[in-house]
Amino acid sequence: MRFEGSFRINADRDKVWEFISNPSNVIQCVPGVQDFSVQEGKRIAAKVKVKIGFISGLFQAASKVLEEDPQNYHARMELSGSGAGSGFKALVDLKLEEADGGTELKWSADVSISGPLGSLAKSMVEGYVKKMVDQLFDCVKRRLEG
Amino acid sequence: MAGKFVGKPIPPQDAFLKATGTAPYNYDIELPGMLYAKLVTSTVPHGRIKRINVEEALKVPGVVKVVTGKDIPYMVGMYAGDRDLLAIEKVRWVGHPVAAVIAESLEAAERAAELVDVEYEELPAVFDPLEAMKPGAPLIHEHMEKYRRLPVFKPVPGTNIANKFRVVRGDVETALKEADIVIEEEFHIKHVSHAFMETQNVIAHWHLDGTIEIWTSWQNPNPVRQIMAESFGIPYNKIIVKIPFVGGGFGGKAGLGWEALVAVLSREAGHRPVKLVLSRKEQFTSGACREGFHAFVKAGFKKDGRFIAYDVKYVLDAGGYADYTVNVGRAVAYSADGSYEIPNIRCEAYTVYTNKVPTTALRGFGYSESHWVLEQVIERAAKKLGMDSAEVRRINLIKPGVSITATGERLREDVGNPRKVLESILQEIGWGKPSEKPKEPWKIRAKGVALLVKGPAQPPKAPSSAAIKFNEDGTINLLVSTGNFGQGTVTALAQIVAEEFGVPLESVRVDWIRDTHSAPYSWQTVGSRGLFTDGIAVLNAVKDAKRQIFKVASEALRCPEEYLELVNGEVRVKGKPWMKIPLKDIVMGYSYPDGTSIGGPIIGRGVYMSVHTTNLDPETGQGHPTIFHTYGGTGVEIELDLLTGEIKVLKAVQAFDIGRVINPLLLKQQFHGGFIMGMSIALFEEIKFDERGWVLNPNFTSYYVARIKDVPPVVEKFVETPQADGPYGARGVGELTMIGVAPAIANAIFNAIGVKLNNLPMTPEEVWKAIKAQRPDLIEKAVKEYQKKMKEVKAVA
Repeated sequence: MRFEGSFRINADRDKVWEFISNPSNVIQCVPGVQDFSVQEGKRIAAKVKVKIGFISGLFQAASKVLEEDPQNYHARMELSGSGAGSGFKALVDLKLEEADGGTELKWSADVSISGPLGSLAKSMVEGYVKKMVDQLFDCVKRRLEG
Repeated sequence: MAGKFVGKPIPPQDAFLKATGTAPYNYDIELPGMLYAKLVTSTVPHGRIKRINVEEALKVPGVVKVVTGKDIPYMVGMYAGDRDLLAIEKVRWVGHPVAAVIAESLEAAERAAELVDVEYEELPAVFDPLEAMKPGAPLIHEHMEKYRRLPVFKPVPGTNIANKFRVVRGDVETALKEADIVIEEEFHIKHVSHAFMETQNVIAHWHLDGTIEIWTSWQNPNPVRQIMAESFGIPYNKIIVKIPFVGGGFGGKAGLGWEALVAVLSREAGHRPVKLVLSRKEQFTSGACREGFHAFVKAGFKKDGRFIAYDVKYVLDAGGYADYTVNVGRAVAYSADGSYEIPNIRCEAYTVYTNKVPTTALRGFGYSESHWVLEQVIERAAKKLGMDSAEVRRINLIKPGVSITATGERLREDVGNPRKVLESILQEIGWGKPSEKPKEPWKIRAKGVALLVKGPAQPPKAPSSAAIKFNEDGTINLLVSTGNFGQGTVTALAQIVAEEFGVPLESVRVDWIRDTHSAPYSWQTVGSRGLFTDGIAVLNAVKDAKRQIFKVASEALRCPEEYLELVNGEVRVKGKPWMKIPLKDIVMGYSYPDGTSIGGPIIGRGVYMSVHTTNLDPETGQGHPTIFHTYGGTGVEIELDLLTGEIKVLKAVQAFDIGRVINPLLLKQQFHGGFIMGMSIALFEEIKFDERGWVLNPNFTSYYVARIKDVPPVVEKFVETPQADGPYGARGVGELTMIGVAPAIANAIFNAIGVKLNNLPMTPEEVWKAIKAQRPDLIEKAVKEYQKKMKEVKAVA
């Protein structure tokens, strides 16, 4: 499944880059995070509570940075995790662009879901991912703009 | 011989405790100071473990230790020897245990297990055994040549083939050319769960002096001890395995279990007892199930119905470990010919690793798979030849004393009477008479039959023993290590002892707990062998005890031993019933009126040793694989809904030549239970995997097991052709009762509408798709009938 979208943040591009390239800033904005730790190489291990349809559970998730290009404000990372008898893996691409004095954050993600969660209707999973991403970037926005 | 107890419908001795919910199962047992273990399992199907971070887990209050594969790098196993306790360096399926958390409470262990952070480097995975066999497929076990396996198994290092086995007899190539018709087909079976009520669970206590005490929910204590002693190099007498009541086994508690792991966890946790209980989900994803199966068949027949050539290749999807499944691969090949004499036969069986859940024995292993194929081949051939399939079966059935099996064994005169089995099924099911027409015209009814034969799949040397110990009041403790997981064998053994000594059945007690320390050895309780092998050992123990008793009585009664008899718990002089001594006055020694005593406490011992079985030739599979052959079969009448593909069994007949009925009630229960399990696997059960090897239905809401509403009336037919060396002439039957169900159902549908159902399970979707592909006209007609009926209903309304 591929997801993509963009957000506008009313803050300077360097400030946004500095914020999002610190993994502990971003992870705190992930809805449902119960616990996390930042390890070497910006690897994050976190516990995230997930509820999609009738399946709910605590997911153990990890993210690692695959590529970081501060000159071009571009980063690629891999998210993976498991819980509730299911697993997921996502390749996420982030890019910041200047836009009218603010910053446009463009993102895309290729997500594969295994196990019972993966057998749920696509629209159900899509709805959940969209909600989660909205909440995540709302939080990022609030913290940067506020 | 009609006995007082043998042949009588006596309820199982443990029925009362089970019915009142007071029988102690392993799950119920708590030891003082006990800790709880929880597994951390792999989330990738194939990968290297880069690192395991346990820091966060250790911070959870109550956590004692987190153990990983690196800490305990032992390999264990019964046959292939390919299993690690926890993944060492590499994971091989989603669900492969990577670490174990040990804590003061289960809750703490569960919480901490979620915090163990494992990083993997994913490797290419392979999920289809046919792909896994191809050169260049990702290797799942790189060094299988190093495993400590039983020498009869032949892995092919450098490939994913865990075992290759062949049975060859006659000249199949030439015979296929000479055949008038050739049936060429593929058959497939999906993975299924044992679905026992009690999931696998173990308590282990590695005592400070090196004694290992195990409590486990397993079929028999001796293989547990053997696996641990051989894998760890520990003397057998240092390991004590105890098994209380067991909530179902079905072969899934016969091979390698969790005992070795939990024992090591106990040692690692400072020699405190540790308990591991698999959740239902873990049972599906980390425990073992029945393998996936593929068969590719060519079968040649002559015009007159003779089955002259059978060329079959089996491929077994063993998953990440194949410890027991290598033996399934043998059984499926040497049982290929079923109840028939086929002069030219070639079977090749490949047990193949894939990145899926590991697999093991399941009730009737190998034989269920081979008969799913063979019995449908017979049906297809009959149709092609324009013959009645019952007649094709009659023509090819083995002849006792004459026929030779695929492995070159000449069958004994007293092997059983498959002909009588077949005729009794045909008669009961009303073969040749049309079924009643169903009310709904879009449904059809049909009849099908399948025959089968099975013997215990075991190594040639697989002995049993038993001891009879008398108490002061003349009551008897029967000591055996026969498993007691629902079959009721121990009740039958107690009946034999009561019969032989002429004492009330209540006087004979078999303990609830099977214990390697105090119970005499029996190799395993598997393969429907318990009553046969352990029954013979018990009869020999009876003989030994009687010899001792008569010796004392002879002296006390001043009468030669040959004039004595044991009647109603008394030793009597034949023809002079007033000259007698009650057993209780002999079994602890006999005292004369003046107080002087002779004899002493009586302990009878007896053994069973398989004398007919041999190793099989490594190239041709020739030899004697089993200790007896029980012939049987199943007949069904089914109703098929052409609109939905749903099959309902309306009536079933189960007939088996069990040699001699020891307990008709227990036998009836086996006939019914086996039918239900066979039907459930035939129609409903399938472990579903996604494309990354994750189990999609690891619970009983999405893995459907037959409910009571699905169960039809089952008619039991007991055929009794005594086997000369069986206990009272009896043979084993437990597993066999499920083997014929699936092919009988498929044959019914093929008979009625010519639609081939080559894949198990026969779910409505599968059946509907098969009808749509092979006979779309039937569905069109059914839809029209349905629409017509609906119009009529509306008109009336």
